[in-house]
Amino acid sequence: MTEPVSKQFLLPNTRQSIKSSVEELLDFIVNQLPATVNKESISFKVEVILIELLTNGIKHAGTKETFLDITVDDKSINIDKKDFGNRYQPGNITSLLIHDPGYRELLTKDGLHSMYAVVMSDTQIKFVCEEVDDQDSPLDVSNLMEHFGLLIITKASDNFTYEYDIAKGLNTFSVYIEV
Amino acid sequence: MVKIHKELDDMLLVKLDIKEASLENGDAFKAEVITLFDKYQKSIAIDMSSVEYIDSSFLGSIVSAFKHLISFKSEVMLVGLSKDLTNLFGLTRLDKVFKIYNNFDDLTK
Repeated sequence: MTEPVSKQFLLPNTRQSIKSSVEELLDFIVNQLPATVNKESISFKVEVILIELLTNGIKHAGTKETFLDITVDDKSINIDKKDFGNRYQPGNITSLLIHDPGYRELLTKDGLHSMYAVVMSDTQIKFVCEEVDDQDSPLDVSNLMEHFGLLIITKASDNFTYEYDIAKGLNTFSVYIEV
Repeated sequence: MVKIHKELDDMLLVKLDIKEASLENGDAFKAEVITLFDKYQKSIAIDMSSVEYIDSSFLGSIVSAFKHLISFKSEVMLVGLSKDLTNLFGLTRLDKVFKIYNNFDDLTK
């Protein structure tokens, strides 16, 4: 087993910089992967995850910069996206943290997917996506969701969590991908 | 951004003339598609072969335009998706929603 390789990136939190930031991050990650890994499949997943993490930061954080801690070993990729911006609040998601670990709340549902937030601790939420397969009734396209960021990250990864450190005002989105 | 390629009896063939489909131009794209539909009152097939980069915001705009046209018994069809876009439509299962073609010839033959 090879030693994990870690690197921290400080990136501008602007729409114009996303593409070049994604290219830089993807290049670093792919170069650390063992030769036996299917790099094409992993590259697609990592790229869409990075695009959505960075886009999400622009939409919600309201900061000039964002931090990414990336660790790669021969079994997995970990990406932690951190910012000290606005608390992540779509659907009042952090209000769920008053619940006990294991509490699960439906965030969105359409004819294709159900997205849930699962409370993991008093500071952390895990995102879970389930595919809906109701073959008995036609797909109702009128209720299709139009926000795909969380869905894409959740489905492209093997674990996706959000943590809020109240004392530091720190948002952390953590993504784990098996390779 | 959305250029008319050809008008057929029952549909409009258009080309999306951008490389980056993102948060920045998603709303404008949706507005252009709906304006075209309001004028021609036909389903719209969009060639996306020039798109090299797409984010979820733009994906949402495509779905939103699709829902608008569907409500008038028309639809948005997609043409010329790159391998990454094809994978993204598979990941989000939107390949079950949209009719997707390799090129305009496949769609019209």
